[in-house]
Amino acid sequence: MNKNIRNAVLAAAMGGALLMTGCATKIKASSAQNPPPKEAFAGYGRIEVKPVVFKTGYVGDASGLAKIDENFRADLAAPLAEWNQRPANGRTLVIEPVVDELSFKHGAKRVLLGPLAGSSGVLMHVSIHDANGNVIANPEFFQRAGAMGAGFTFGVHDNMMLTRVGKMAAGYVMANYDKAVGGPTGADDQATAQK
Amino acid sequence: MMKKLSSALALLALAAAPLYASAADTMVKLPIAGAMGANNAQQRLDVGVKFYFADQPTPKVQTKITSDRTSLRTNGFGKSTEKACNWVFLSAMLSLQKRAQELGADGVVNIVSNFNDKEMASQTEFECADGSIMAGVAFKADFVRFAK
Repeated sequence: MNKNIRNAVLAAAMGGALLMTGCATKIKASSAQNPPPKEAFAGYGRIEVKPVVFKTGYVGDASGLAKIDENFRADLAAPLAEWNQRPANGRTLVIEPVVDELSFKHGAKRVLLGPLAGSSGVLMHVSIHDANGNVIANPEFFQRAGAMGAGFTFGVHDNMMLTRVGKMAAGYVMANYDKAVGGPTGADDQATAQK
Repeated sequence: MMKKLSSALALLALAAAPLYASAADTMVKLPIAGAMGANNAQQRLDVGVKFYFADQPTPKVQTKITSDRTSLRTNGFGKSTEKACNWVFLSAMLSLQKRAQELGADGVVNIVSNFNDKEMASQTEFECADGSIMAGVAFKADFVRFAK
């Protein structure tokens, strides 16, 4: 009897440990707040937005990348059309979103393994520079989907993470159009790398 | 054996039928003031972002940053309609507040209920989808910066 209890406790502990290893994503942001850009984006007569890409050499989930790109562009479509209708002033701002790390648990893996598939997380930065390559801002954005929450919603949280990060990045561009104010990275203390 | 099993399944299906029948959402209108008075909402929605419902008069708008929408649901099982709806109202408002902070907005104006894309504008009431298991609130709104 005692042996049975001991085995059950051992199995539960091993299961718990296995679950916990999947709980935290290793992806971290560098801070909770992005500083304001060097100047408000309205100073540029033309704003060009490039597609969201992975950083050079990084191999990640293409479907996740496409989802981020879709949300980023959807939010910026209307304001961008309006901004670029103003008279050109010879200054062009180039916005290049780059995904640095993406852990996206989805599909059969999430449905079959649930929380055991682990957490999802994404870290991206947006390189914002003028036509000469001068950096105007380089904000970063972070989102995660905890293993438990994502696991028990069969991946809904994983997908929402991608929606949120795309919207946050687009939000930064809109927030800093009229006035340079910066904006949140989306990371809390737990998601911020120790310096 | 098979007969017993199929009878049991049929009974289960019959027992579950009322649940499905009552799962459809009933749209209810509740006072915004009541929801703002519950769940510590006033304090939690006081971080420098002001909210204006429907055509409520606002301070002078300097810039409209963008429009956006939010749709949230909460577990309504075992809760009164009012309790569940006030709770999800607060969640939806917090979601608008968070988006305003991301956008550098200090005002959220023209807030209207927008459940399933059906607009209901009111200065005093919001619409809540009350189901047997879940309650839901959806808003759409404009995010602005007020003139200083």
